[in-house]
Amino acid sequence: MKRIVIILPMLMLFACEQIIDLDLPEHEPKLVLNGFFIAHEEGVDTLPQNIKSSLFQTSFSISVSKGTTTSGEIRYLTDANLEIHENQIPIAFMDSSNEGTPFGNKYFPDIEVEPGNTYSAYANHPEFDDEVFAGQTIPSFPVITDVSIRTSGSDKIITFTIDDPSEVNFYIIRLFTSTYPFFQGSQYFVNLFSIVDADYIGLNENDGLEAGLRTATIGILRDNNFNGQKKTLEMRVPELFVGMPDDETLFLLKITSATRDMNLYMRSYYQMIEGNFTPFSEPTIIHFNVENGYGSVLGGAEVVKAIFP
Amino acid sequence: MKFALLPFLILATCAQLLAQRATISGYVEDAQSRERLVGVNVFISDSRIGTVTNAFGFFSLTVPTDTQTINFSYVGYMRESQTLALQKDTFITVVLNEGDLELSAVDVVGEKNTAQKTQMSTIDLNIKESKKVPALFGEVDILRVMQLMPGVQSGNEGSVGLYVRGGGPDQNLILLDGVPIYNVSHLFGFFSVFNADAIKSASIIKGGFPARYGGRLSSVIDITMKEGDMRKFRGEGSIGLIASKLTLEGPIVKDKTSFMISGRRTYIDALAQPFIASQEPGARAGYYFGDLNIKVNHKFSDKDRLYASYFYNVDKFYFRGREGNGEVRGNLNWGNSTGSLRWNHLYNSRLFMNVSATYTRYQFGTSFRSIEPDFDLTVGLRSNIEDYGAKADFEYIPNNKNHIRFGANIIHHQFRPSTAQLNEKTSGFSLDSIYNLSPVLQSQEAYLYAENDHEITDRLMANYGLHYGMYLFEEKFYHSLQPRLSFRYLLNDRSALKISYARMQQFLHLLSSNNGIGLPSDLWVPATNVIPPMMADQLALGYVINSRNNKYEFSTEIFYKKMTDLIEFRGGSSFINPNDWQTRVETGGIGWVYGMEVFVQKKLGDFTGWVGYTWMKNDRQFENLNNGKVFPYRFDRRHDISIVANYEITKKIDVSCTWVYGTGIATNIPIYQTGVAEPPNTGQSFFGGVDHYGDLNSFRFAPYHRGDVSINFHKKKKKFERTWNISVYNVYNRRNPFFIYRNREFGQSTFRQVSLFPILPSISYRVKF
Repeated sequence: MKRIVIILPMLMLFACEQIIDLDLPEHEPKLVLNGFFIAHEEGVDTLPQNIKSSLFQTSFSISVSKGTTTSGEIRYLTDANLEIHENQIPIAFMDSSNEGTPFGNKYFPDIEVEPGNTYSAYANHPEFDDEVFAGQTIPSFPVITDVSIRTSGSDKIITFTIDDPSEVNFYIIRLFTSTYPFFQGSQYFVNLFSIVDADYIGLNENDGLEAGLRTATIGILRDNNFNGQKKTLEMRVPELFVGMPDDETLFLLKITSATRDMNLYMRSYYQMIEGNFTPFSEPTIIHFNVENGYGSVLGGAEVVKAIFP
Repeated sequence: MKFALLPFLILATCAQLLAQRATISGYVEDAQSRERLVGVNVFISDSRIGTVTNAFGFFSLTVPTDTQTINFSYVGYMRESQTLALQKDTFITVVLNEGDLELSAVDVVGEKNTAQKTQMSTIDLNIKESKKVPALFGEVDILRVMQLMPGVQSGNEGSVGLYVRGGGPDQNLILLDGVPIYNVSHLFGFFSVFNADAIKSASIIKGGFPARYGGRLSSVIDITMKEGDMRKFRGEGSIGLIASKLTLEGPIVKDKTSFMISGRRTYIDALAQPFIASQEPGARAGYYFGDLNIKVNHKFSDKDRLYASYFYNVDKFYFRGREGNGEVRGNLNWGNSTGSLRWNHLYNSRLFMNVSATYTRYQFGTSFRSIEPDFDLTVGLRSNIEDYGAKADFEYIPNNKNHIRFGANIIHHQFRPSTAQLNEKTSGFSLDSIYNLSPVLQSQEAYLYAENDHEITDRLMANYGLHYGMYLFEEKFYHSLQPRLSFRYLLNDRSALKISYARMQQFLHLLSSNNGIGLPSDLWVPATNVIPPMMADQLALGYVINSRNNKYEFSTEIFYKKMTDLIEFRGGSSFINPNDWQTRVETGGIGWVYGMEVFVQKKLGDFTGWVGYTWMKNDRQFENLNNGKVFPYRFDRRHDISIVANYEITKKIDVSCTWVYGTGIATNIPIYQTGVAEPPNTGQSFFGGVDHYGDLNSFRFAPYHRGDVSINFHKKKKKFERTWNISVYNVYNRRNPFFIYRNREFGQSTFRQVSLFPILPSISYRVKF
């Protein structure tokens, strides 16, 4: 199929193709601020390191946009100024002269993000006149109850209930399972996610489950599927992915209650990934919310549940 | 439904009681071929009484019982008059001789011109004149001629896709002898499937849709095949640079039964074969398209006639080559096949019926075969849509002030969005399986309608009606009552104001790529439980004026159309993988289109032609596309101009020119790159940055413009008439954009625009006997 699809346009253009270079308007570089404000429940520090590395972290990167036709790599700035406000009060400031200097290309402000608070990030750099900024009000932690696991044939069925608050929340769900005995030294977790039956969980394929399911590693759910109600979701883990005796298997369910911006961004991000692997894919417009420049500052509150068979 | 008809019947009956009258009805036919003529003006001299023949050449007029002179006029034919002393209902068959209407062109009171017709936003193509318009490779194409009309835009370079008043190509109901055609493209869209030699009439309705039409949002294109000469065996054929065609027609039983058969085939594959073979010995590759139209009609009596039509077209690309010890073969093919059986019955001079049974199928398929000494593997992929339909249409003409139409239609749709075939044979194993990658879907569509053409006063005329559409998919039932209203107010005999409103609903969606690749893999899918049907409301206001002798016509219309429940592919999705298509589309889209059209035409004389201009704005909005912001539709063209000029230098030589201009189409190219916020542990890293397009469809191709010229040399020989046609496409060699791609060399990106057709001269030889 691919072979034919590649041949076709070539054939179509047979002898008449004429190619001319296109002059595009010059791109004016702007500051790009990307990052997350993420609240975590207490006890997250006790999780194994490989699980911790799968959590969203409160961190930021500051870079400079470049025109598509401009050669070279993206320039990440480590000498920019980043100021964090909580409910409009400055709580952290980082530049190259204090302890908050970037680690690698990222800034890790030493702050505790709490649900219900509004956090803003402001970034500037001497090369640019405009300060870029964006803020997020952190949603409450997702309330997860009735987590259970059962066996269906050779598959495992995981069920849990999300009690949706009246505020607008979106949910990002990932499920991890161990591929080595959890309590042995060599621990390793792979991503797994699979919805059993969209109708069963009261969500239809179109407006319930967002893009990203195609990668089979993440579920993104819209707020209007919950509307402040409790909903029970069910996930099926095929035997292929369990592959271990029951008493040695651990599942970790990670649920992030996300802001609208984070929901839109995550949709667009996973669509972009899908498009990168699909010929002739539709363009993806990455969601931005940063003022005066580019980038996405996103917010969420994350919980992790361990599930023992 | 009974109640919907009641007002029409009451109106009709009251009016009928007013005077002593007789009804004159009958058919109008071509004098030579005895084919029935559609849209002939039938009118009483020195009065405002008149009508036009319907799609089967039938007319009915009720007049006072007296001596009446009835006139018949039709473009391309001599005017005919008959004086009758009418005492009772009378049935006549009138024949018209081909000739120049202008020879007898005097202003006759009562003759219907475009100002006097209630229907607005409609264009009836003159097939004979259309054949003069310059054509790509000399292949005359009626859809291309339609693209030269205001409000009808072409898609990309070379495409025959029609974008009518901002709607997509899927929103056109294209009927060939009453049967919907789902894909009208040959050669990746460069030619339409309609062979002009087999076409008798063609019209396009862009708005103000009468209630008898439904199922699409933006236009109705009604094409009728030739019926076949009832008296004489005739033929027509041509040989061109890439294709040849032949049409034969004649009587099977004189004045009773006739046939028409028309075929066309390209020979690009035969021409290219020696070049391919010289590059790679043993290799074969090629492409061809062909189509076949067959029609038979039988006249049982003056009251009954049966038409059987068949249409088939195919496009096929194939290759074969050696690979190691084995051989690889592949092909890609697509095409329609349709059939219809139609029965006309005249109950009496006022009630006409047409009953049809229809079948249509569009299929797209591809296969790849690998043959080794001990191994033979074939993998195929196919998708199709198949319809079975039945329809009954009635026309009741109680008097000259009312023309009532009512009827019903039912269609069974079957969709196979994606079927795979796997055939494997090895020395010890054999497998032959068919897999439905996406489930076979079935749905039922039906409608009822009633409408009336009502002359309310001498100046005010209306067409009002209701169309009730129903659709069943599994347990889900959609239905809607769609009002249709058109009013015409005559300012004088030559000019009129018109206004129309129409609600349309469409139960089928076409998943087509937004990235401009013109492949035939567009996928028809049904409205489902979660994907509702599309709806459109269109309002149009127009003014039309004809010159005293009907030589010139000027018309202008403004329109506003709102469409709801549109669908589009999601970002990152592709037509390459149609599985689970419902999860790959964005739903609930809204479209707004508004604009103005201007049309100036010179219809008679040695010099004929028209100028069409459209100003239009065409936007879309989806909650989950472009961050919820409004964005321009890909074919949002602010300005669209077409100029067509034909000049008959002598009876033997005529020359024709066209010039078209269109604002560049909207597309997406990455403008800049940034780093992104990377979620943890996704297995992906975009440290090097990702592409950004700005807003969706925010980049514009350069404007499209092109000039074409053709010259015809006609000569009548003893037994036939021949025409040499010389055409030059893109006469000033404009490099119009076809698509843009990104070229990466040594870490540096540039964008390149590919243009398709440079200046292209062509020659063809046509004979008519």
